[in-house]
Amino acid sequence: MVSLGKKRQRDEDDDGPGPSGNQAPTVGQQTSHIKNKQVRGAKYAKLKHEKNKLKKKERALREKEVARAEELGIEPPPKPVPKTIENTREKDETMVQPDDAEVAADEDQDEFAEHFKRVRPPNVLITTSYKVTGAMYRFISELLEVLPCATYYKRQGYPLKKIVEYAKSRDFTDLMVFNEDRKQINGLLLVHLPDGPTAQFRLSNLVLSNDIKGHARATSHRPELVLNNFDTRLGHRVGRMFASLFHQDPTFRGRRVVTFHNQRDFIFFRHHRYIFEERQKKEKGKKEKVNTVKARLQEIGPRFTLKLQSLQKGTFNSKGGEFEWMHKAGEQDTSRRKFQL
Amino acid sequence: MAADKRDPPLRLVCSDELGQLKVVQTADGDQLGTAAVASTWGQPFKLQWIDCIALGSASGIGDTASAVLAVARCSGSIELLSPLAGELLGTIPATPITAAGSGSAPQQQQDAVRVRGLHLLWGAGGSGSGSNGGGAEGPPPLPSVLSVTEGGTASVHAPAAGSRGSWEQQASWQVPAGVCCTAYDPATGRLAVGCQGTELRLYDCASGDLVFAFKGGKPNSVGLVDRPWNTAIVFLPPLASTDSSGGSDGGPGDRLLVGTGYQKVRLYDKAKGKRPQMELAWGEGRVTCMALEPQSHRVWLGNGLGQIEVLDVVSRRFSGAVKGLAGGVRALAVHPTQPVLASVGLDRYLRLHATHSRRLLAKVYCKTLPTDASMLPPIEQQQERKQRRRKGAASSEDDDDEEEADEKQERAPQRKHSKHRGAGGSKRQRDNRRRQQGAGGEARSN
Repeated sequence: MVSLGKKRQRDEDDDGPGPSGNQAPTVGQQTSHIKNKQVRGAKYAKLKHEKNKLKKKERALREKEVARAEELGIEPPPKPVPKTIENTREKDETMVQPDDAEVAADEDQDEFAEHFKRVRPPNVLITTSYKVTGAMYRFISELLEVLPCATYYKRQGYPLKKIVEYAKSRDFTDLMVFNEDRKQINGLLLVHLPDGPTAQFRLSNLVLSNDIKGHARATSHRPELVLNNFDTRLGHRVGRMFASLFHQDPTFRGRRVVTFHNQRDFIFFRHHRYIFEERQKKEKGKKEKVNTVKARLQEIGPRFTLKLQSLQKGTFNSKGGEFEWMHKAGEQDTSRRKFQL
Repeated sequence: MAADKRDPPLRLVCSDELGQLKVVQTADGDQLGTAAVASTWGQPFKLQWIDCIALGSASGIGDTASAVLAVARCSGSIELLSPLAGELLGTIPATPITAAGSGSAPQQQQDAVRVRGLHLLWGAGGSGSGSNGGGAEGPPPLPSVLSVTEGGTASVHAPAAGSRGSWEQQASWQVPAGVCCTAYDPATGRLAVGCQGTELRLYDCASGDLVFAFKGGKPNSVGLVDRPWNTAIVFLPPLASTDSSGGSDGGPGDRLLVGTGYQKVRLYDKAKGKRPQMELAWGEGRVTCMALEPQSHRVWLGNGLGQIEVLDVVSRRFSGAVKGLAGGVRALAVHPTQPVLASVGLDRYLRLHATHSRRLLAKVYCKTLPTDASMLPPIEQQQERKQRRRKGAASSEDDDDEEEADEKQERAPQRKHSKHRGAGGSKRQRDNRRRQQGAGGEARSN
C-alpha cells in the first residue's frame, strides 16, 4: 500500500485526465512561470508572433493545395474539423454500446419494460405546485394537447406522497408535477408509477404556443417521438422515462412530432408538425419544371428546456429515498467537456 | 512460497438486482488501480434479485478452505456458494408464507419473505454435518445460517446431520415486522434488529429470547421525536479498558452504532441504559450502510445521497469524507487486513478508497444496480494448492474446474491492465504472468 501511483496524487481523483492532457502547452502555459512581467510580456509576444506566423504559413499551404486540386480536378484534401465541446467530449465508460447484452438484459427488465412491450399503455396525471397563476393554466392546456393520454388534476392542497398513492391505485403510469415560483414555471417532477424512478428537472426558457410566431395548432393524433443523444446509462434511463409518456404506436397521418433533444446535458423540448411538400421547381438549363419533394417544419409549441437535477430510485421521497444520480456542483462540474446524459 | 513475497490480489464480490454476482479483482495487492470485473456468476434475471450476501469462514480471514458465501434471493431462498469459483454448495428453500400473514396484499406478502439480514454462524451452534474437524479429507463443514426476513421471522438453518444437501430449521422466532437491517455479534451470539416502526432490539440467537429493547432519542425542545426507523447497525468492539469506570463500560456485544432514516447516528450502550448515549445529525439522507474498520474505533457510514464519512467513535467526531459518488451508497466493506474501503452505489460503480488518505484507488463500472458487496478471500497461491492436491488426492473433478476458473480469473484483469500501459509497463507483471503460465502448465502435466 505504500506505493500509490503518482498519477493518483491529484486532488480531483474521481475524474478522467485533465482538459489539456496530451496536447502541446499553449503560449500562456509556456510563459506563466516567468515572474517578471516585462520579460513575460516580451516572451509571450515573441512566442505568439511565431505561432501566428506558423499558422498563416499552414493556411497558405492548405489553400494552395486546394487550388491545385481544383485545377487538376482531383479530390481536395480533407478540411480540418474544428474542435467543439461535443466532439472533444471526455470518454465515458457508461456510454451504452448497441451490442452490450448485459445492459440490454437490464433494460429489458426495468420499470419501463412493460411500456415498451406495449403491455401497459401510458396514462399520465398532470398536476402543479400548491398555488399557481394564469401562466400555468395556459401552459397546462397546451401540454394536454401535446400529451393525448394526460389528465389534469387540480392540486387542491394534497401532499405529493398522497397524490402518488392515489395515482398508483388509479392505474396511472406517470405523474408530472410542474412547479411555479413567482409566476415563473421553473420545475418539473416526473414520477414513473408504481415503482419509480423519480426525476427532478429544472425548467427554463418556456415559450408558449401563442408567443411563437407562425405557430400551428395541434391535432388530436398521437405524436411521434424523437429522443436525441441520450447515450449514457443515465441518459438511457431518462430517455426511457420520457418515452413512457407517449404511446408506442404514433398516428403517422397526424405528422406531429415531439422532440427531446439532449445537448450538453440540457434537454430541449420541441413540438412540431411536418409536411412533405411537392413542389415544381425550375432547374438550371432546363425548360420544364421538375417535381421535387421537400420536408417542411412548423412549430406547434410550447417549447422549453429541461436540466436534470436528480434521479431517485422509487417514488417521490426526497429525504428517506435513495438517489441513482444527483447533481453535485462541486464534485461533478470539474470539466466543461464532461457530460452526464 | 519464498519466490512470491507480494500481497495476494484483492478480491471483492458485489451482488446486483439482476441476481448476478460480480467478482472484482486486482492484479495484485499493491496495484489496486488495476481492479476490474474478473468474472460474473449467474445470468441476468430480475426474479433472481439478490437482497443481501454474507461471507464467512470457520477461523478468521486466512482460512480460505472453509470460506462460504451466502446469497439471499428475493424469493427468500438462500444459496451457499464457494467464494473461490462460485459453485453451489447448498440451497435453503424459502420458508412458506404462514396463514397468519396471508391476509395482506400479494405485494406485501412477497416483500415479507425477503431477507433483510443474513449471517453465518460457525462453531457451537453450527457445523452439523462435517464433524470431522481437523482432518484434511472430505469437504469442509458448512456453517449454520441465520436469516431475518422483512416480515419479522428470524430463523437458524443448519445442515441436516443425515443427508448431505438438506437443511433443517434449528430455531425460529418472531421479531418485529418491517425489518430494515440486522447485525450479528459472533462473540456473544447476539442479533440486533432494526425495523421501521419499532426501536432497536437485541436477541439471543441460541434461544431466540429478547435480550434488550432500546429506546429512541429523547424528545426535542418542542417535544417531537422521530418515529422509529433504524436503517443501519453495526456492533462496536468494547472500549479499551479505561479502568476508572470500573466495569460500567459495555462489554462485547453491548455497544452498537445505529443509523436512522432521519439522518441521525446513534450510539447505544446496553450497560448504560436504554436511551442512546450519543445522537448526531449527519448528512441529508437516510443512512444506508455502515462498516467498522478492523482493530480500530472508526466506522464508515454511507447514505442515500452518496455521502460517505468516517466517524471516530471514541472522539465522537466525523474525521473525514470520501467524495465523488453520484448516487446513493448501497454497501460498504472494509478489508480485514489492508487499509482499503470498498463502496458500491446506485451510480453503478464500485470504488476502492484508501482508508487513511481517503484517496480513490480504483473505480469499476458494474453496469447493473448493485445491492450488496463483500470482500472475498484471496485465491490461494499456486504452490500451496499443488501441495494440497498432492496430500489430499481427493477425488475431485470439480477441483480441477475450480482451479482453471481461478487461473482465468487471475489472468483476466492483468491482461486488461497491460494494455493501458506501454510495452515497458511492468516487468514484475510480465514475470508474474510467465510464472503463472509455467505453473499452470506444470499442474496440467502432473
